[in-house]
Amino acid sequence: MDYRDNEKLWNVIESFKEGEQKPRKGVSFNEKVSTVVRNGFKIFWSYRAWIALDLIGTAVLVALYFYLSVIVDPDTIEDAGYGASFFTFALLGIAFQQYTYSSVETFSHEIRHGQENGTLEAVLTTKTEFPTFLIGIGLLSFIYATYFLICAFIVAFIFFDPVITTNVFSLLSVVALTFLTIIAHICIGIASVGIIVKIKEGDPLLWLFGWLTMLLGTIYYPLDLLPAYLVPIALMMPITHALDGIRRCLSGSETLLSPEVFVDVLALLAFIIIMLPLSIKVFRWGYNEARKDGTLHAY
Amino acid sequence: MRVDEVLAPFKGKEKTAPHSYFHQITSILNARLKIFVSYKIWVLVELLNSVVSIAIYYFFGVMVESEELESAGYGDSYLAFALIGIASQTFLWTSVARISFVLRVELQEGTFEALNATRLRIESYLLGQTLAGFVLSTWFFTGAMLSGIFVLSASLTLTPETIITSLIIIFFMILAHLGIGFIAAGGILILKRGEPLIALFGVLTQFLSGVLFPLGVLPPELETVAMTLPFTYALRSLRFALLDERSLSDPTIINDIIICGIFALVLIPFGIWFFRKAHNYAKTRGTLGHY
Repeated sequence: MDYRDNEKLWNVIESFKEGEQKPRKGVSFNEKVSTVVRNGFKIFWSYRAWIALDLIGTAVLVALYFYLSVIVDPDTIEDAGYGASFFTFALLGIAFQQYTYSSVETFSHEIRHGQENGTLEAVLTTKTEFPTFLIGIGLLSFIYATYFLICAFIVAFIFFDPVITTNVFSLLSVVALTFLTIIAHICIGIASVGIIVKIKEGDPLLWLFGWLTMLLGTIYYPLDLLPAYLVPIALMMPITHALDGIRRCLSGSETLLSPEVFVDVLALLAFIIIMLPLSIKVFRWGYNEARKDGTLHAY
Repeated sequence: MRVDEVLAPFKGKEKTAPHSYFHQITSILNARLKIFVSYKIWVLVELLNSVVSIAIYYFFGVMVESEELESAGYGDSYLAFALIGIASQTFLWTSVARISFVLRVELQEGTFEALNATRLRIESYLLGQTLAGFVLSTWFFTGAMLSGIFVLSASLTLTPETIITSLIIIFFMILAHLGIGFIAAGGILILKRGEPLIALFGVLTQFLSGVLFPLGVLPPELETVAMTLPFTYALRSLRFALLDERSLSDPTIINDIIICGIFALVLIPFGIWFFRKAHNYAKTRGTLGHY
């Protein structure tokens, strides 16, 4: 049978012929990032059962800290200047800690996933630059972190009545602090990608960061409870300052102009100024080394 | 001539592959342990993860008012209370999620169908994998307990009697949950998904069984739900043994062991039956090779 008899086949073949093809216009940075985000969101949305179970998991986690607060002495939280509710203290800690996870672990998780499945190199052979791809992944992850934060707050407000004392200015201060927190942690995430693409195995920087965050990041208890020799290490971590500022704004209506919160902002800015160039350097080293070795795809 | 040379090793009496249950189980166990030992960094990192989790509750314990713990009969140390809960969770996870996890990996990598094409009995495979899981759990449990006791000075009562009592309770705790693990694995074979459900079961058990707080702080209706979970009974007895020096002669401990035994008697046969059905279902539909 002549293919000209089949109209659909004819159209397909014609579309591949030279000369008639329209030149592809360049895809802008915004379009590429939004495509990565849209694609990730479609995958996320297709797992509806997982979303429902994740929501229940979030509710259970919030409930766990509510009942844990029954056996906690509220004076320790009040003495640290965060109001008199351990539940509110813990809620803010676990909800905002998700942003640090998104900023740091998502990148290396996605890179490892791409390496294991062999899709990373395929993506990198396209016209999409590696940083653009990473920004898309990061943005998707922040959307998920925000979703987790909102769900945790909704569950808390409906069932457990957290003590949030705030106003418009302190809410704006929280937005600013969250932004700085994300940027500060992205520095660690970028450095960790550089390491993981080069050494392939689990990222030691990420493990160390995870342990220090959980142990010293004041997610579950205030800084005052740590022994004196651990306090300087805790103060070097951005999460400590981020949570301190956010808790002061949401539990005591403080703003960026309050001395304690202002110090937190300065500490976060200092961390970013030092870490951003350093992390870009580590990332470039790892990325270029892996490209030279031809092992960018391997895990 | 050359052809004969090539064929020679294949001629004569064929050595039959060992196929006793015992040999198959030990082969699977050996293989898994070899893989485990080869991932030295992973082993170390996982162990350090447990230590960090316990250290978190060491600091957290400073804020805890001990009245609620004492009134429940768990002594006055929150660290010791949380240590037992967190460390024993490793056995819960292995019992419930180990087989499903292994099956998922085999299905994803396409090796499960190949395994089924061999003379390996599926029961031997499951038992070998489960035993390997419990060797790892024992390693992590011991590591967590030792670091809690010797590094963070958790005050546990360790006498030969309490240790033997604890081991028996852990044994029954594992038996009580194994059936759920078989059911979950069968579900994976049929549905090709199910980890979120297993994860949810884990989170709910952690919340309701009192891993991090005594059950007395829960409202009565949630406490009733908690009493339907075998982990609640196992954890209660384990804490009574290690924090209140109770032994196997204690009525509460006897009662809890009997309850775990009943869960095991009901769930294990049902779990095995369900898994076999699911396995046959997947085999007859030809879906053992994909996930």
